[in-house]
Amino acid sequence: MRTIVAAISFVLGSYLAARTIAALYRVADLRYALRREWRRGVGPIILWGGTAIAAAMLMDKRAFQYGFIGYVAISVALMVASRLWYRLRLRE
Amino acid sequence: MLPLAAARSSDVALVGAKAANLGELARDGLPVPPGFVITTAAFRHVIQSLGIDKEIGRVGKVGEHELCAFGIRLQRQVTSAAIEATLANEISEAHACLRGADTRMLSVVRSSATAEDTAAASFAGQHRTYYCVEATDLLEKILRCWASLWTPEAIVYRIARGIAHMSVAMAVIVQRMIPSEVSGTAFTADPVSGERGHIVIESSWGLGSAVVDGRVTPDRYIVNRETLETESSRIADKRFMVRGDRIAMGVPAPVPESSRRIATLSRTQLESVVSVALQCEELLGAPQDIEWTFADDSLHLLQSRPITTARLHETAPPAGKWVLFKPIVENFADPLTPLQIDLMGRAFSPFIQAIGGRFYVNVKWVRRLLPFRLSDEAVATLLYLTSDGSPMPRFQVTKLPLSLIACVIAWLASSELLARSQGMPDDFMDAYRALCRNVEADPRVGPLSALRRLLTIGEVSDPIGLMVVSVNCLAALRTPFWVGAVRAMLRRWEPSLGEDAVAILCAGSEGILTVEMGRDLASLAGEARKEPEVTKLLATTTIEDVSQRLRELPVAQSFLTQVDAFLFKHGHRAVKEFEVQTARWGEDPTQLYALLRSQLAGREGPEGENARRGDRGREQLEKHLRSSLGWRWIMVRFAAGRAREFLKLRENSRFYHIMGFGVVRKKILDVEEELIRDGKLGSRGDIFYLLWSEVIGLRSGSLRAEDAEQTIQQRRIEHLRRKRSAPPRTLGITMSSPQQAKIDSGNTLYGQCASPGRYEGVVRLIRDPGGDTSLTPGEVLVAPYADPAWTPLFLAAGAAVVEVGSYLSHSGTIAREYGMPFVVDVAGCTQRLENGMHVLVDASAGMVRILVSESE
Repeated sequence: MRTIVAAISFVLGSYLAARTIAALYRVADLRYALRREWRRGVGPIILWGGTAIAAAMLMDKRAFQYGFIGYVAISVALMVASRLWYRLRLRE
Repeated sequence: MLPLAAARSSDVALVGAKAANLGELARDGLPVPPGFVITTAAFRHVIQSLGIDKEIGRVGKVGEHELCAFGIRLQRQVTSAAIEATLANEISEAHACLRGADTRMLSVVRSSATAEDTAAASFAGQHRTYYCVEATDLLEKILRCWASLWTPEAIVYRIARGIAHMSVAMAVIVQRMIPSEVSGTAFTADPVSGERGHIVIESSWGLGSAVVDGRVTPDRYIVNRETLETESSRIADKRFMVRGDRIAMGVPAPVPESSRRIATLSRTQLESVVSVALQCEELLGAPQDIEWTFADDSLHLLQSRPITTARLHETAPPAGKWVLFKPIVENFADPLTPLQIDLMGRAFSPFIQAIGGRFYVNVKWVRRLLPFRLSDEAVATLLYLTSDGSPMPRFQVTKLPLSLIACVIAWLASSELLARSQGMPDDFMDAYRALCRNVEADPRVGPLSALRRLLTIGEVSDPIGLMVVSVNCLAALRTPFWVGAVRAMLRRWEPSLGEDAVAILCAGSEGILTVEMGRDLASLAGEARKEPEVTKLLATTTIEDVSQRLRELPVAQSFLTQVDAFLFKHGHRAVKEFEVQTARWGEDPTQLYALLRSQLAGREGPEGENARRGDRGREQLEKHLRSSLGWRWIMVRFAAGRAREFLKLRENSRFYHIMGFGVVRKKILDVEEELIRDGKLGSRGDIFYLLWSEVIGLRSGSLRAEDAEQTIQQRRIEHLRRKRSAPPRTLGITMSSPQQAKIDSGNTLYGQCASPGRYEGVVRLIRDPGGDTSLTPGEVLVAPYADPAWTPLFLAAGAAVVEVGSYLSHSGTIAREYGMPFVVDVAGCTQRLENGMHVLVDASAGMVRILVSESE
């Protein structure tokens, strides 16, 4: 049972990491319309950030953290790698 | 040294095939300009004296990636050498003899390799020809002709054809330059199909080089071989000509306005060309591809070679199994230009590769990643989005681990983007306009940086470019899921409705920008109708002059304001908009006026009424389903709503990322302008035939303008050849699907349904909506493909049939929105269906039946 809870916590941690990063990105995504759409910019940060904090307290903390931090690490690595790749491929 | 008229067909090893053919024709009294040949013996002597014969022997052992550098090194060795005195004197004597008293005579220096101009290999454009050569430059040009035997393209061509490098030698022909008034080509058989019933002649003003390398659209005459009657002629708008006189020296110049749209050949001249072409064929014993020119009303024969039937791949395709990348080809069936391929290749994954000017997907990789027992043919069918009714493939456990790894990687890479694209305001992509404006205005941003910022990953602080592309890809992936869900539910709960119901339910979403474009165009037509003078001008003036004439018409000012507003919103669009070479409506509104003319030919009525046909059909079906399905209708409605939403996102993101292509184009044009100003590029449009590394080379000076010009000429010829043939759907895979087998069954053509319905009407074949506006309302539009810029024609068409496309194609989405029957993937429809044929389009069954042909 503990293993199942840990596995679910891990997957949920990854999922909520993806949603939280996406929510943080939304400010930049709405850059040209932030004045008008500020609720759409701030809302997801509160919603997904809050959900992640609540889930971290309720679920298997260690597995959740591994899932969350693991996803963030991979996401950052992918972002850096893709930027380097395209900078090299699309250099003037 | 040999006089040209003395060359014989048995002398190919000594004078090359081109000189041998010309010699034979001159002997038989055909009008070949006088000249002499520097034989292959002289060439071999020079090569030996330079000591590079051993190095040439190494060509076959050089790796593919070293070929280019190796070839350039060999060329430099030859061009930097000096021709020894004895040979140089002989050449000067022969030249003096040729020019006689005309001391200012210009010459043309042509390569004549032993392996070129044969039935097996034309080597068209692979070796050099120099026009307008002064006597002082003669030796240099001869050296350059010899060196052209080792251009990377010629080396690759020989490898692909299995021709040993050492076996080829180069003779050089020096002829008197003819100051051409009209020039062109003549094929004594169809160069694509090999069909012998017609002679195809193309002609334009000035030198023939512009016709041969595709820089101008020439006049085209098709003459019946038996009756020698002209069966059809197309007089093109010839904007440029290359003059071969001492003043112009082969530089492209605008054609005077009065000559642009008039026929280049009189009836007598056409008869002379036909007569000479047939004589060439008779003398040389095979269908011929001849080049000719008129000067002082006399015909001169410049070249005659056997027709090598056009094939897509002059070079061998890469090993492996490939299927055409449909999302591009269904929007743009022509081959892409080298620069476009280079730029897109940098942004694409290694799974996709450019072959013969089109992008292909590597079937081997996709097959590995799918956890099913699938043949190559099945994967190709799946990737080409062809529904052939095959049973569900069997699951294969051993492939599961790799599939799972791929899924996890895909999830990690896309889940964040997926989340970011949800819950955004409807008009969030409009911010892309602002980004485009910023990028366009920033002089520090070049074409590649623009491509990166607008069409790949964007900037961390300004990621809207990434969002637009991501939304497009993710929506394209999610749409089939929701369409499939609607299909499954209806099959189970309302089986009597059939496939049409799925298409109707999943179509008709408001807010699709391409549909709005069609409606805006209809409004523009309505505005034009308010002023009879404007309507008359649009209907009768030569389409290229419409813009100028409208500006001069005082009553057209209100209409022009509306045109400007339309262009502000949709000016980044164009037919063939996927290609950076294509001018956008904002730059040249000629295409737009052509579409407007088509609109005006239709009946007057409330704008956009046709466009609402789809909505009415959907409303009726929804009413029926609401009453018959009860609570289950909620599930169907939800799934159909999701499908419509993703289709809308896909269409709208396309609308915006085409805007990005427009900005990249502008950046490229800036670079081109700079290169033309510096004298490094000859004419506008040339840059699209270079690779980006070559553009950089030209700018820095590491690539000489002369070499670039030759490369451009070769690639233009290659591009033209590729354009004449349809790309094969697969490479390395033999397809035997029922779809393929059904293609040629009697009077019925088969394809796939993209928008359901049945319609009977008369065929109107349109190859370019920007030039051909003859669609009468209610006709059946038949076209090679249809991208979003074609869709305004959907407002007038009764139904449409295209060679390439799919259910999820952009034009398919718009057709469903309009409720217009639309059949896609009908192989050979532009050949089989002719103007005036009466046809039944049963789009629901994916079928077109010829009822009555025009002649009947």
